[in-house]
Formats: sequence, C-alpha cells, structure tokens
Amino acid sequence: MAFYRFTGNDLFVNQIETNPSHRFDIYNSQIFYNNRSEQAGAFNSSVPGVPTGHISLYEMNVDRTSADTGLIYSFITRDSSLTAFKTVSTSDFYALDYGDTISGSAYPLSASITREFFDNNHSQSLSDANYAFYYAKRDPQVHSTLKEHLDYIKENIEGSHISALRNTIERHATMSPHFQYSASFSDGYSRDLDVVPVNLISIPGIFYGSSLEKGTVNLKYFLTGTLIGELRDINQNGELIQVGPEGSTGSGSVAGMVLYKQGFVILTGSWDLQTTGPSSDAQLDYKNTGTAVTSSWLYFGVGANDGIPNDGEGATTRASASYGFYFSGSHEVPVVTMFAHAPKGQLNFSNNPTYLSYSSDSGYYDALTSSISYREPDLPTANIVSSSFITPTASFAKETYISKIGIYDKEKNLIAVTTVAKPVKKTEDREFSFKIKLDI
Amino acid sequence: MATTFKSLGSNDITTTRTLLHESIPVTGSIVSGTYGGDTVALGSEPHIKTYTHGMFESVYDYPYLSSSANHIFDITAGYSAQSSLSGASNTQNSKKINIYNQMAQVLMGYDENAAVRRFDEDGDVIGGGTKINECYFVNFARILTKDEIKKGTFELELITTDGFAHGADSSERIKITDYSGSDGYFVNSPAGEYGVLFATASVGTDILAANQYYKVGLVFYQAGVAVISGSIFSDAADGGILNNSKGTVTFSPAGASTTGFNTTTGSTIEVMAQNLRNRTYNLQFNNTTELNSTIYFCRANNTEFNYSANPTYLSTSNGPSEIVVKDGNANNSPVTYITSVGLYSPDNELLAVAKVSEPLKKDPSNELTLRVRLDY
Repeated sequence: MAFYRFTGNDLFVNQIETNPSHRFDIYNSQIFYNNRSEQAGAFNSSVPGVPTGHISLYEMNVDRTSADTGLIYSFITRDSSLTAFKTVSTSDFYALDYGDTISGSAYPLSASITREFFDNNHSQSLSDANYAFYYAKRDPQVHSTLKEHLDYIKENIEGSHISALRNTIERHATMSPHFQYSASFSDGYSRDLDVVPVNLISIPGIFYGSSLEKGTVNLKYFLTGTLIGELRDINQNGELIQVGPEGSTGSGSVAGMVLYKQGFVILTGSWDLQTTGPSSDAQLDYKNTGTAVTSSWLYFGVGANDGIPNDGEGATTRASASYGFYFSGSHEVPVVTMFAHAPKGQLNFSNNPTYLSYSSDSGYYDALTSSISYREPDLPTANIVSSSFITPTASFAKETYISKIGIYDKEKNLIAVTTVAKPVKKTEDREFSFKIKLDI
Repeated sequence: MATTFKSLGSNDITTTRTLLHESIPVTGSIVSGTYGGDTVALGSEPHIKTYTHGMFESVYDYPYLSSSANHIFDITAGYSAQSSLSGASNTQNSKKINIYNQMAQVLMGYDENAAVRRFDEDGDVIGGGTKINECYFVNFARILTKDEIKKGTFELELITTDGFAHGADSSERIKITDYSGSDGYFVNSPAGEYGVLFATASVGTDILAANQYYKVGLVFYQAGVAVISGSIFSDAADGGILNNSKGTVTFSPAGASTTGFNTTTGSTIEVMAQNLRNRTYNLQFNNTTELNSTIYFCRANNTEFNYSANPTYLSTSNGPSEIVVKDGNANNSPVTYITSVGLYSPDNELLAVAKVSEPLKKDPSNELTLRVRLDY
C-alpha cells in the first residue's frame, strides 16, 4: 500500500454553521414541537415514547413498552475505573462488588422547554420561607450527626433560578440596559428582577446547539385564535421588542430579553395585551389559583411543563389562549477537508488477491540450490482491460479500481477510511484528486 | 483566564477505556405480526422495506415511512456455489450465490488460492471440517450493535413448527446462542472477532435430533452480522438438527413439495427472509460502546494556586491593591476558591474547561489533586 503525505495545500480546517429552525406551539398545557402531534403506536400511546413537545435522545425504544416488547436500557459493569452513572451515589457504588451490573435509566431520555413563573417579590418570599424552615428545624438534636442535620437543611432550602442567572444576565448589560438585573435610571426605567414578576422559559441545549441564532427569536401570543402580541429580537442584542400586532398596547416596548448562548427567555412585560376588540381586558385564570388576571407576557407559555394543568374549553378558560415560540439554533461543525491525489503513473498496483492471475501459474520455477527452499511463484497481473470481443482480448495495461482511501496518522495508525460511491478506474495515464471531508 | 500554567507530566496523564453496554430486546412481535397484522400481505407490511433487486429485506421497528422509525436489521439468504441446493434453474440462483460470496469474502476472507473462504462451522478454517453452505444472514444496524455485539449475549429463539405466516404455533422452539463467545471467540476473520452459534431446544419435547448443542452458525461481533445455517429448519434425515419425528419444517405457502431451507430452490430471497422473520420468537443481545477517556491529574500543591486574577480578589478600599480575603491583615494567608480547571495546548490555547460542582477552598495549608476526565 502506498502512503502519501498531505502537504500544506491538501489539508485545511473550516467551520460550517448550521441553523436548524425550531417551532413550539403551546396550547392548554400541551406542547407541540415542529408541528408534530401525538402519534399512537401499536404498543405505546406515544410512538417516540415521550410526550408531545419533547425530543427523544438517541430516539430508541420507538413504540415499545416494558411489558410488551421490553425496553432498551444501558448498563455498565462495576470495575476499577470508578465509572458509574450520575444517578448512582458514591455510597451505592462502593456497596457493589466488582462485576456487578449498574443499570442506567431506560431510554428514552427526553427534553423540552420549561416555563417557570416568579411572582411579585418572589426573592423575598423565598428567603422568608427558607428562613422559616431553617428556624423551625434549627435544632440539630433531631438528627444523629451534625452532618446529617446540615444535609437535611441543605436539601430543603430552595434557591431561585432567576437569581442564579444574575451574573449571566448582567454580563450582557453592555448590549442593553435591560440586562441590568437591578436598575434604577433617572429617566424612569426602574426594575429589580428579584422583585418584579418574571416569566422564565428555559430551552435545553439539545435544541439549539451552541446558541440561539440572533434575530430569529419570535414569540406569538394568541387569544381565542387572534394574535394579541408578538415579540422579536429585531435589534439582535437580546431585547425582545413587541412588534405586533400593529398599534397594539405596548407595541415597540421591550417585554423581555433572551440569553442566546444559555438558552433562556426572560419576560417581564406586564401590560394588558388585549385592550381592544371583542375579548378586550379578558381575564383568565393563568395561575390556576382561581383568580383571573389579564393577558400579558408574564403568562406567555402557561402550561409548558410548569405544573399548570389543562383547562376546560371556553372563552374565559386557559384553553382560549395559545402561544407560538419560534427560533433557530446555531451549531458550528468543524470540518477537516483533505485532498488525496492519485498521480499519473502511480497507484496502479493492488494487493488484492484477485489482482494476480493465479490460473496462469505454470508450476515451473527457476532451479534452486536447495531442495527445501520455497519461493513465491511468478504470477502475471490479471488483464482486466475491457475488450469489445471475447477473443482477442484487449492489450494489457495496468489497471486498478480505487474503492477506499485510508487516512493514517504520523505513526501510520489507520484512523479513518473513506469509501467512494463506486470504484474509480485508475489507469497509468489518469490522475485523480479526491476531496475528503471529515466532521469533527 | 489563567495567568499561571502548570505543565502536566507523564505521571499526571493516563488513559482509560470504559465499556458501556445496552440491552437490546427485539421481540417477535416487533419483527412480524404487529404492523399490518393479517390484513397486509407478507412482505408488504409497513415496517418491512423490500427492494426491486430482491436481494434482501429491511426490518424497521415501526412503519418506515414514519420519521420515528429506526432500521434495525436486514435479512437475506444465500448458498455457496458448492452447495447441493445450487442449480441453474433455481429461483434467483445467481443472486443467492452472489449474496453468499459477498458475505463470505467480507467476513471470512480469501484462502491461499485467492478463493473466497466459505463459512466454517466451528471456526477452524485451517483444520477444514464442515462448511456452512446454505445460510440466512441477519445484518444488524449500527444503531443497535454500536461498536460491537457483547460476546456471550446473543440469543435468538426460533419457532420450529410448520406454517409460514406470523402467529405460528410457538409451542416448539429452539434457542440459538453464542454461549461460548465470551472466551471462545475466533480472531481469524478480516471483519473482526466472531463466535460460534449453538442451538439447543427451548420449548417443547424431542425438538432436536440429539440432546446436545448443535453448531448452527457464526456471529460476527464487530461487523454485527449473524450467519445462521439453513440446517435449523431441517430434520436429521435431511441433514438438519431437528428430530426426525418432528420432520423438516414446512413453510406452507412458499412451495408445494419443498421444506426447510430446501424451499430456497423455488423461492425468492424475500420469501426466505420472511420464513426466518415470521418464525422469530425473540431476539436479544447486549451491545458495547467503548468510551475512551484521558484522565488528567491536576495537582495544586500547597504553595500553588493561592492567588486569583479575578477582579474582585483585590480591593483598593483599604489601600492600593489589597487582597480582600486577608481582611486588612498582611500576615493572613491568601485564600482562593477553585471553580474550574482549564486544559491548555503547548501554545497556551484553551482546549477544555472542567468545572467543579462547588468551589474548593485553596490556601497554603492544603493541597488538592483534581481528577479531570476527558471522554472522546
């Protein structure tokens, strides 16, 4: 086999950016991803095995149940490498013997968008609740050890996801003053995300890759089928600005912001979105507390994995509101491009056994001095040149068919093989350049 | 952004390999009977894809026109030109020989005369022995086999009663396993390692000609191909493994007078594939994915990494650039909290960042070794 070294002009790395678009439609506590409705199978009520609006990692266990078909699941064997699934605690791991099987969760593993609502003055409320819990449980005597007591306290103290994003949000403050977590400007803009109600929508990274594509984030709010509000990041700086419907209340105002790389949408616009028309000032029980409130961006996406149940049909129920959430992802794929050249007069011999004509072995060898010596027989190269006639055959010419190209590292370890769609005929007077692309 | 770098020595880097497995059950109901049921002609089921060339059929786990469906395996059948069943007047004779030769040359390679090696019943190709001249081929999709089929876990249970369509009487079954695969596999194939498949009675009485493990095929672990001898559906009188009292299995609609693998003389490859598919009671194996890792032991000695370049680390409120954590007392030890470990190239380009679950306190009185694992 011949080896050729890539030169500087044969090898380069570039990057392809892909921008897959995504669409979530939310209606009455159901999410529909990319227009896919629920699909019932022969065994499972949901063919992918996940609810609508969810994406299935690996897409295994299609139309399967544990009872009817068994489920595909992963497992590893406990060995000295200390490798285990994240769901296995350290104590459980060390309780296992070498060779024991550690089972992971059965597929599918799924992901979907999640809405989280933070009510007025939520940070203080959470702090008060945590303090009250701690105060009530502060006596360590109820547990056998202090560590056990502290672990118990730690497990029951809640943090705020919006507070956890404080540094991340403020890092974007150079893009827009709306990214100030707590702002008080002389021109009247004043807001503290620990105090005002916040609607947080989280997008798992599996949907968007590296980041959300700037300028593609679009939120639409419908009430009884009528568009009452639309947000876009038209400035591509993370501000979500109300752009429609034309002349609507709050049009042109910033109703929230988007963290592109982290996949969060933070909505704070609290104005009534429906002040005109037949359903003006309609109030719905968005919070599922029995108290109806007017439609605003704070209630965009109600029912999206936030624990709020579906509602009955009717103009004044949550079922009369629906939401569209659209964006594109941005995912970079580094690509190595290699040019492999097959020059004239080279690569015209093959080690394939069929390249030699074994049938032409005469059985006569040159005389040797020892009767126990062995030598390979002289075998002619098979003539495979196409002829228009069975006899006479075409004139002999060295001819090979290139079917694969191997990529080797500098130690000549085979690291990749590329196969052509159909073998390429290589004669001594032909030369080829194969363009090989490798996604890394 | 790091301001100090510490080189990793040869004692700080090691590589490991973790084997992750998946249990893959494929019940007979998935491959036959569920989709289409009795209302759709065999071979036209929505989860079975057939081709105009007629050389194999593809089995999906759901109707293949759905984007949810996964291709799980292909089934085909063939025989060697040296098989007694080979005959120019056979249906698709050349295609069946070509299928056999193609699979054999990829999986078994060539002999010293540049002739394609036939499948050997016991894997001892040098010692000769019985060859498998007529066989079914089950080519599993890479999504199921991943890097390889885990040795010693392959299990295929087949129905051996007469009939052709799905839902045949499953009261008599044989089980085909590679029970010796975990330590008795062979390495003399160009396609990787392979084990011998053995058949034993599973359900029913007097199923096999003798109470023993019969060698009925080969399973190629890395290639993800099972080669199953045609003898599994024939009785001993016909050269198979079934008890003569049971007789060779009849595939009723396929041929009037032929039974077992002999059906191949007058049947297409697709019909042969359906023979096997409709008699599959259960199929299961475990797969293996190799997770290669490099472990970097990042050691922070007592006098190292006690200072931070974080802007909040210094304060000017009590004088020029005072370390905040010293709290105004120059004699106090500096303290930092390690939150992440950066791995850099020799040119100081940041390649990877590892995060700790919670910041680790570091001062001159302690030393830390952070075990950073990079999977690829």
